Amino acid sequence: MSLENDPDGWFDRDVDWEKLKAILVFMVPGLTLFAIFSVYPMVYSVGGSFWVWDAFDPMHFVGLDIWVETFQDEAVINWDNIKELEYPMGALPQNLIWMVIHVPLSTFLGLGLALLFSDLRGRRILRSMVFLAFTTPTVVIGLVLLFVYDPQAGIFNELLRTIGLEGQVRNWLQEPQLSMYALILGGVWVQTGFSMLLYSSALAGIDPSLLESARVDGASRYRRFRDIIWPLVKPVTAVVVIMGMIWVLRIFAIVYAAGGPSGGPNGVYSVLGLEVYQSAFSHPIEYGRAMVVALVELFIALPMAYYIARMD
Amino acid sequence: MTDTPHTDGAAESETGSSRTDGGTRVRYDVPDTAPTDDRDLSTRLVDSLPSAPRAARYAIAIGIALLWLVPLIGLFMASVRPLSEIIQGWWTFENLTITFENYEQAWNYESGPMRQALVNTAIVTIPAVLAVTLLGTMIAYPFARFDFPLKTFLFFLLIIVMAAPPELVAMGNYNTLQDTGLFDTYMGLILVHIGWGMGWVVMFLRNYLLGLPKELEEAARVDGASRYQIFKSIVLPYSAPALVSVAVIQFTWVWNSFFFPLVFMRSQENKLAPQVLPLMKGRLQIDWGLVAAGSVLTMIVPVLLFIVLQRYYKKGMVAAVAD
Amino acid sequence: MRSVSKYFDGGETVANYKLDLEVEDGEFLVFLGPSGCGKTTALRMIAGLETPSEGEIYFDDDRVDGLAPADRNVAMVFQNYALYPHMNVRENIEYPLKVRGVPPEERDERVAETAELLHIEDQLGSDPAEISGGQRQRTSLARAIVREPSVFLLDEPLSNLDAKLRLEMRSELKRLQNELDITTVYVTHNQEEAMSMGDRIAVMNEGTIRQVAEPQELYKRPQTTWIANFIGSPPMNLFEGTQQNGTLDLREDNTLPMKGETASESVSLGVRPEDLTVSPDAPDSDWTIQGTVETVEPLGEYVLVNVDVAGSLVSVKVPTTDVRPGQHVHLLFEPEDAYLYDGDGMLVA
Repeated sequence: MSLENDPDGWFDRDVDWEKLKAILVFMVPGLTLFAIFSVYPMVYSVGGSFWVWDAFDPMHFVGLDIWVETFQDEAVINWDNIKELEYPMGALPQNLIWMVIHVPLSTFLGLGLALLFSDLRGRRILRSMVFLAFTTPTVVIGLVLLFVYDPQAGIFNELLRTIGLEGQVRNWLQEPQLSMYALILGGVWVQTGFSMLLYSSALAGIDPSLLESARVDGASRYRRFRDIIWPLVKPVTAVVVIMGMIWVLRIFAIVYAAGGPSGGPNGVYSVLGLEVYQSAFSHPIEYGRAMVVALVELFIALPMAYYIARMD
Repeated sequence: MTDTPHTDGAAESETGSSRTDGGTRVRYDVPDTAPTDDRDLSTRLVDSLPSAPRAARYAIAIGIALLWLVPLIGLFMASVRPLSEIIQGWWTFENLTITFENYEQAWNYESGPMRQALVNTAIVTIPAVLAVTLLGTMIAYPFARFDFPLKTFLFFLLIIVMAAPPELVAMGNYNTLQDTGLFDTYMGLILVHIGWGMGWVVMFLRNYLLGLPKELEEAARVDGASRYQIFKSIVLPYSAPALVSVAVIQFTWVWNSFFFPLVFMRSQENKLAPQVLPLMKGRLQIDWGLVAAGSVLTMIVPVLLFIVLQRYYKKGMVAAVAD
Repeated sequence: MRSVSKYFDGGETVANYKLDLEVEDGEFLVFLGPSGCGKTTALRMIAGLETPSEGEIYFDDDRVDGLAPADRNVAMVFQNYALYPHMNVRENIEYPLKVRGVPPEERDERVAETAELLHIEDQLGSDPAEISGGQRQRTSLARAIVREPSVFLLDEPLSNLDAKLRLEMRSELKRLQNELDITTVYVTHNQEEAMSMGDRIAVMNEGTIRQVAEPQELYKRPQTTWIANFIGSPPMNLFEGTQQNGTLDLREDNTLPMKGETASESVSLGVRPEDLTVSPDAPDSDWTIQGTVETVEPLGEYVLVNVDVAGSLVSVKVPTTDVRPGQHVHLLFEPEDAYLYDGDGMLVA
């Protein structure tokens, strides 16, 4: 991204004052709203995380106390259960586990589907079919998952019955040790469409003669993928991975719809977003704690945003 | 694949291609006849079928695409069948009853009727999208073109907001809206959406406007157009495709958004459609038909929008993150 | 590989071929034709990037048309060079060897040799984006040569270069081909390139080969009016007429003595611009045609006179002339320089 002057200074020749006024007129309305409803509340949260709150009002400054408390809170990080590798482990580790499983799966599935569809007739329709879930409201996604995993009416269990695994039939979203993975699968279902879309456009941008040249050079299908396609779509992979991570970090509605505001029985698939919501908007109201958790989310996302910004 | 021998076409184009820069323009027939097709129709048909591995790829591709749709198909099926049949499995087709009762129920659902919720969603979404698109362009244009103090700072601010989770601004906005009396009003939610969407909209349009040829503006300046006229007559029309992309994507996001309405819309008559859906689950036995009908009603708008404008949607998606 | 020959008898459904061709071992064969004539498709079939729907291709006595490109030991240079953008010049050249499992020491040696042969030793560490068009061209040639293919395929390799570089690369390519003695098939739409480089030229149009001949032969005896019209700059002049009773009637009172059958037949007579002379006076010869000068273009090396004969333009290339536009002139030529084509455009005499 270039932030430098317009190179020939054509617009700089007239006095800055007039230009600045014009720029201001353009930018002020939007920036005001941006400042009031995005920047200010962020700063508010940063500051507020060092205060003790009486419901919605700051009481007095306590430094890092709330930060420390939050990290000792079992709903955020449950150290005992992490050692046992048992859910619930707390919203933060669960969110990270979600990320670690979800991102590679949706990325590779997306790449695989993009490759599979790339030269088929009707690929646009095929892609739209896969992408459709990404355009539906995430609440609906959560409810759909609830429906899919239902022990009676859910098609997932029906599938198990058909392939002779009757013993495995259960309500997958009520199984403390498994429901997290069931939900992650649903997330992958949604996000694969997105990564497929990005990869498709990246693949379409590869000069076909490069692949032909590699064929003539004697490269097998696998070598062509490894040596030509994969290095050339690498920038897109970075974007897909980062967008996937941010998407997982912001997951809220899916979990809320599937498991209520607590994030499943005992919070076994609670995520950071839910934790913020619970702290801030359900009794007892703990504004400071909500801010801390939300800031943790931001800290995880910031390096990624920085990476994306640097890429241009 | 045409079945006509190629001779005729060849003769015509050969005559057409005889050059006029020398020699008499001669009309002649094809000397060595282009090959006529000596293969019969059935050989050609067989040849035009995809080869076995390719056919397998088609089968797999179509299979996967359908698999991806199964949950949504299930949702749709559930929405048009009575609960007793859904419990048996929406995939069974014995004694299939199609009913619109679920829709009727959802439409009049007591703790948030869909007819009201959908209207509310539209009331919030449409102005929020239009405003953020226009205001975003107005910021993006100077951002892409001119230099001004604090530009880099603003740039990073936009990036941070793009990365931040919506929960981070919820607390501050909650208090702001409470203080200004905008809490639990359409206007309050609209303003939150505008402020929140500004980050990516500005970045997206800025990247697009970087490609605006400077000559266009300069020509207009030479013609005596003011900055505002340039914006109206050059910048806006030039960015029209990008604006459509932004509007479509922003529309689906705002329409689908769940967290902001959940926090800022409390009274029953102000609830938005996505907010109502989890309520429909009820306490004990989930009424799948009701939930499904409500879901279909809610998603129909963004899905139709996607299907109709998918060219812009996909292009925008790719550009928004790939730039 | 000895005595490479290939043979198709293809009727490619879309491009409509029926190609029949044998290429000698070590020969430089050029496919020449206007764009869209199918020459690139033919090349791609040899490479194995397209499958012929009919017919057979042989390298020596081995049938290859079912083989993947990797198993044919062909190398190809693409019009846009197709350099892998994420590899530097060395890695690009090395790639075919790497894929074939050549050990690293040998790879280094061969890359160095090839780079030297093409004078790109200094660019080995650069990325394709950093080097000039000519160097990219050389890199892509190097990548093709490095694994010593039995057939070397070039698809319009010079069309993206500027005029000066093109001349340079033309002789460079010819030199390489002579040195390496690799059977080469070269596709171009540029007849100068074809004439100057090819041992033989296969002229293609509408998906078929119209004539295969050595450059001189092609120039001297184009077998059809189409080729006559295609080869040469400006191309051969063609006069339309009817042949009957020992004379050839061209339009507007131009009659030439002509032996032959008595049957009346429509024919065309072709004469190269350089075989015509122009003179204001009626010369003492039967082999003249009359016309009016339209324009005179002095081009330095020669003067191009465009003469209007019966409503169509005839080009004449002469060393010098004093005719003026508007002047009535006689065009004179030797009967042995004229070619007679029958109504189907085939060469008769």
